[in-house]
Amino acid sequence: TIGTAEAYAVIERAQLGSFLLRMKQTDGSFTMHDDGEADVRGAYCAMAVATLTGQLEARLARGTADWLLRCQTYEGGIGATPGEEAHGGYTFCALAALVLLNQACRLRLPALVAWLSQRQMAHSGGFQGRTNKLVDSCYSFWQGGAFPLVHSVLHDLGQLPADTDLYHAPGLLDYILVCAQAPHGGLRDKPGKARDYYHTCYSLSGLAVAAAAHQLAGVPSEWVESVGVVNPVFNVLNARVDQALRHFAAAEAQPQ
Amino acid sequence: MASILASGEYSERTLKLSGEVIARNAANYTAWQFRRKCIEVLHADATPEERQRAWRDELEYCGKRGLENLKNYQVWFHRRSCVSNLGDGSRELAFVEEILAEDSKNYHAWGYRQWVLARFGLWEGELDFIGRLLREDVRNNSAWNQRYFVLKATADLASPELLAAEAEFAEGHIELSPTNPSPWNYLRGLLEPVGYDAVPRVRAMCEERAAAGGAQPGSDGGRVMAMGLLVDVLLASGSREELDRSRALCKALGEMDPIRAAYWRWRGSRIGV
Repeated sequence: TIGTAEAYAVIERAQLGSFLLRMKQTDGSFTMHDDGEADVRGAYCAMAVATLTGQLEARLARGTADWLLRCQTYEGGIGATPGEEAHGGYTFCALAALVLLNQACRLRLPALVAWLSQRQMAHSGGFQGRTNKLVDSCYSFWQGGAFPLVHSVLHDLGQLPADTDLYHAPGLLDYILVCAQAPHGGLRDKPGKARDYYHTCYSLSGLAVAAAAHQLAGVPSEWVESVGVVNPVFNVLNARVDQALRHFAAAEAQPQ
Repeated sequence: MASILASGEYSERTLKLSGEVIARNAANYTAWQFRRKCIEVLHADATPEERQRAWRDELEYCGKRGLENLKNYQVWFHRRSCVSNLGDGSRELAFVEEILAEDSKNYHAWGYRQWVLARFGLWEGELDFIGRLLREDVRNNSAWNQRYFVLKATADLASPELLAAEAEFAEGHIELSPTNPSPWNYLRGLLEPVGYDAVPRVRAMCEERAAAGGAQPGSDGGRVMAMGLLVDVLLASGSREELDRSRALCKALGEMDPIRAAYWRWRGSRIGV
């Protein structure tokens, strides 16, 4: 089953590492596959996978933070490549990648926070992906999930007290529970749209983030506990992240 | 697709087969990559004219798939390959315009358009194009983003004349729809790096709108937007009195813009720190 030593052993760690290196471009970006497009998703996937398998080394990381920083726009959010419009999905990917590279503090943080904050919809509580676009439940994670990342960066810089959220968690929760749930189960982009796995996944991921928020009144603690603590960088349960890191650290200690 | 790859056959036959795969799943990136490889192999010893014709045919195929799959990464990347191999982007802006006519904010289309502009230097006319889109929809944030992109690539963003002209452009659009965040974000993006005193009328405009009076049913006349920008303007000036004012603005914004109450509270706490 997944999340076990047997499952991890299926991964050819060294080959995985070589693959990631091959996807790396001279400008610091990563393509999604051989002869494929390069955008912040590539950098995020590479950094996340490398970190989890204990292979984030200098060669892989070189120049990537510099490239990611170029993707932050005049609006404060981050686009797919330098110049493209600030967008929730790409903002999450770039921010998480920079967190893994320990260089998120190099972003224009006040501008990023202002943009993220502005993406929460005043009336519905959910998030939009870009300025002047419609609310969509998947941004509950891409935008909502960027907040814990930015909170931790600001906190490390001494610019934000612990236990402070810069978005309206109850508002997000309302959107997910009231608007995103489909009548017969599953979750959807917005009322009027059909449920699908993608929106179910990211609504629930946003729900896990919101449930861990600090100013959440009226939510049963058993419910919060049953959701579990999700690591917002990987969108994987913290316990599982730790387990994987330990496994691959041990694997690294053994010569191939 | 797996068996085609295993066979190592790059031929007209397998090129056609890849089309069948794509018809069933346009997101099969292996199939698209295979097509590129096929065309290269098939025309490795061909004349430049033959190669051009092959890539033109492929561009046509790509265009049809693009119109059927407007939000597909593979189709747009394939288009870049075709156009790169052709070395001719002359018809691409028109193609993107066609796509934007259907979906004026299509993220792939705008990204591709940026690539075409930079790759082929087709900047002339782009500001006019943006102007047209904004006349259709003043809230099209992709168009605003494009404006910044074009100016960044072709002009001096620190030039006082340019800043004054762009501030006027933004203000004109604020006039049309004062609650529209796009021109406000544009103003902030332009002026933050050089200093708001580069265009003093911006502060004056913010003061005017922040003082209320512009409200109408369903709109606050841009009051919240103006107050938000005014916080940044005052912060930049740095005088004790102005910092106090910006703190007061944050407090007021926490009540007028309650979904962002926690943000405004934090913002206020950071002033003068």
